Amino acid sequence: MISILIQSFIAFIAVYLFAIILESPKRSLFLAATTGAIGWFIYLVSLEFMNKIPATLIAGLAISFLSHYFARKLKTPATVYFLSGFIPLVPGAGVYQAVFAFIEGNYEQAQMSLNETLLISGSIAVAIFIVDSIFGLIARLKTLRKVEEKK
Amino acid sequence: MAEMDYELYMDTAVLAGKIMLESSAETYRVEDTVTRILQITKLEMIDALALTTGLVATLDSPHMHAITVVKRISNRTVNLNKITRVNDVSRKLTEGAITVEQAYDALQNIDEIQYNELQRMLAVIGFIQAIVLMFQGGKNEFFAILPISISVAIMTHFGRRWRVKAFILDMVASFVIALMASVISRIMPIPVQEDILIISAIMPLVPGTALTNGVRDMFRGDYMSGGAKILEAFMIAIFIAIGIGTGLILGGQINL
Repeated sequence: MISILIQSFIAFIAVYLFAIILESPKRSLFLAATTGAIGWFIYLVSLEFMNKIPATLIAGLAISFLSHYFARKLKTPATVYFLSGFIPLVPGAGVYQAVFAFIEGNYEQAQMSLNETLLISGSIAVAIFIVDSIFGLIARLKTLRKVEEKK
Repeated sequence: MAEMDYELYMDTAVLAGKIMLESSAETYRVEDTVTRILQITKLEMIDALALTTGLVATLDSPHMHAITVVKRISNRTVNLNKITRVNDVSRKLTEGAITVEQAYDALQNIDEIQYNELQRMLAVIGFIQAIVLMFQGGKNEFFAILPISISVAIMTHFGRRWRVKAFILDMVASFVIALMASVISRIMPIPVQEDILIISAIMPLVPGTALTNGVRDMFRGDYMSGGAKILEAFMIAIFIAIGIGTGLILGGQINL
């Protein structure tokens, strides 16, 4: 448990620095890093119970939710938090493992790594999609209510 | 209200859209911003179409000639600060807090140097060092990756200064990473896991930005832009793979 907390703190630093690489506005750096750290914490906790793919999905849901929440709070576009928050989950390792297996001539292993990479990317996509559509729906309901009040 | 300067509204809207697309904003956000700025004119026909590589906007009413502007977007980098600042300007403009002249001026002076080159390079180095620890690297890997992360920072610095295309820079950088990692893991007196070095060092290069944005565009029905960005992500991933592959093969040939 303590190692997970230390890991999350390191993730905080990593995401903070990545946000600087992406030229994030200064006022958003802290919250972007918080998003990434909470996401990584949830990912590591989920890994204790399940494999990488559903863990990525759950952590992705948390990251997307926090991104939208912070975006509304600070009046910045949600991308600012999305792009840096997701970076620890992006499957760079899968690409490497696929290439390595391919060079070794182990095509079966290469295919497996490639599939895993695609599935992880897919679960990131699904997580973004679910939260995006929930927040989109809330925004639409709010405007609908306003229109009705005006009548 | 006095006679409106429609062309200025159009210029402001298109400039805002251009800056956002050049900073890799999502397409729907660009279209939304451009339409909102144009809607201030209260004309009957307002349309905006943003693609990853270009922008079209039109403004028309029965009483005047249509104004249509096409803008080609060729250079794209990620700059979240610019997106946020354009967002602020367009929010203030639509709320009526600033005039369209002020908005146009603000958009023309959107450049802001937040972090100098040294800070950016240190951020790349620090990011890779932190990622090593996140990917189950020990202190051996932490020290062994230092030369690699420094060279990645130098390469990305010159890549940006010389405006090298992203996937070429990524291919060269991942080639150097794989080569250095395979050499370092053999000459170091302490045991070092080569794969952790490579996986961590390619993290600043992986196309997470293109993938995330592409997915968000795709799910909103922007198949052109979303498809283009996802294709970009695949291109970059393939070029990273080529770089790592050649680096590993060459690194394996060097006898020390």
